[in-house]
Amino acid sequence: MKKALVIENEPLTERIGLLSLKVDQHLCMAFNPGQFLKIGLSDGRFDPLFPRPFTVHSLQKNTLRILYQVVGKGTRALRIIKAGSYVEVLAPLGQPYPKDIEFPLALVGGGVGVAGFGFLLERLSSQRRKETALYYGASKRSDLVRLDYFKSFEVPLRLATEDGSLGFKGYITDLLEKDLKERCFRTIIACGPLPMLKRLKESLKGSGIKLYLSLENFMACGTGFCMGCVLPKRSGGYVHLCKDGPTLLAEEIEL
Amino acid sequence: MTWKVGNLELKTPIIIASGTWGLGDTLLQYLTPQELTYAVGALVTKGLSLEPMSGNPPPRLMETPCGLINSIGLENPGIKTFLEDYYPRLRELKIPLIFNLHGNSEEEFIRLAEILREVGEEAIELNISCPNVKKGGISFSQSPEVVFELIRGVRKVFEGFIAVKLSPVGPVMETALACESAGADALTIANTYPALGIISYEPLRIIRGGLSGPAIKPLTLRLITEVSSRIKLPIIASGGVMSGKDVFDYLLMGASAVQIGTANLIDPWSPIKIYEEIKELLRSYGRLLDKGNT
Repeated sequence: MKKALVIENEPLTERIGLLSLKVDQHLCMAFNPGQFLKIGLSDGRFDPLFPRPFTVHSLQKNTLRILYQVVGKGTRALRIIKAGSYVEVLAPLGQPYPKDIEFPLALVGGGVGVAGFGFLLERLSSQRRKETALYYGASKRSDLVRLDYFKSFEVPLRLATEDGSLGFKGYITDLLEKDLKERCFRTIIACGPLPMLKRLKESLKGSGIKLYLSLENFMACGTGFCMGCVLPKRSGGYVHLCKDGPTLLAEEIEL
Repeated sequence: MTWKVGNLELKTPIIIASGTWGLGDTLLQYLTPQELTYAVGALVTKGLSLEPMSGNPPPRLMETPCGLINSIGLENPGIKTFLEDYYPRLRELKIPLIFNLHGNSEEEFIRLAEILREVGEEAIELNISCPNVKKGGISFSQSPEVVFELIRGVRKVFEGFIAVKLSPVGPVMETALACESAGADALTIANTYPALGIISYEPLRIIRGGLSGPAIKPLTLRLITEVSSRIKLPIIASGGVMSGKDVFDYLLMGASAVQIGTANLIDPWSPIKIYEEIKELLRSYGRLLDKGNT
């Protein structure tokens, strides 16, 4: 792992934070949207033992940003890191988003699952952005973080909150299903809580829309060494999320 | 300087443990061949079986305080595919390979050893923590008599280096003695510790697997100290090595070489970091070791 300087660790809500790291040019060139990195604390502690995987939220001018939500001891430890200190990173890991995306494209993010779409939008040409829409849902208004950043891409931004405090009232999947009656997408990439992904997989069955899911589970190595982060394949056997994913064709896996 | 484990000669005392570098296909994405040959004395392959094994359904992993429970279920493509697709590239590294073998019966172990003899490989590590199907599924490691017969059987077809990877639970000392009298060349002490973790209550998700990581190091260090005081076979230590100090602790208490496992999963560069640290410690305290290494 390499050391990376923490430029900023900004709390966005009580549970969500934005971590900005300084990375070298070599790493900037090596990364593609959809890939991830492992981040560990560099204070020699053994608990948490494993660096945690995070998708790249943004990568501009040697600044790599991740969006994280505090859920366990790994992210709790991340929360208290101060600007000016160092973390350890291993990157880039995993496969980029598919290269053969057919447009129009819908990106569907639930909560901080939206993170990786920032980096993707940064790298899409302005022409491609015109054929892309971002669906972004959360439980309440304050959890729809980084809205100004996502607005800057000038893609249609479709928002939903469960309590109706901003945008459509309900789940983001409800809003997408409603829109699909009038709009056509050829590809959808979704990332968010498992129930959201299951619902999308179910509702888009037979629609002819190519659905990709960006998935997560506990990873130890992130490099394909341990073979621990598996998901059953529909055709039998397993995919290894860190090596074959994290973005996979929905029809090829069992959720 | 060379490190001797029986008749096996290593350039460094660092061995990368089975199952902690995949099948080898992604290893060189993270380490250069130069880094590997500089720091690593030997590589132990993923556990290989006669037929492909798809492994256990998830969950296969759970982090515990300072440890990791894994239940991979020996996922591997089978020895034939391994030799065709992965082995040629690994052989080019010119780092000694130790083939970790997994059989469901004595006959399977013997067949695996024969296959390796046929390709000219000279070192194997027997994983005896697997269930012996012919003896009602009880693990080989629970019966020193069965282990004795197993090693005798494998020895008849394989003249090279045979290490036996012991389970840390069960009749460890008796099994170690059985390995010695049956003609094994070394003991790897030890495999992971049987463990159980509860991932969630609703739905109830439980993992039964093996515990590794720094949490187990004091346990394995004690085990090695006790076995090495009674057994003359060289010992390869394996258990929670995270630093050069961990390596030196094991060498001091009777190990001839040390495997690095969980640390590789944290950072693929761990073997190099640990090798740098052990070199430093050997300069300061190497005189405390008297294991016949030159």
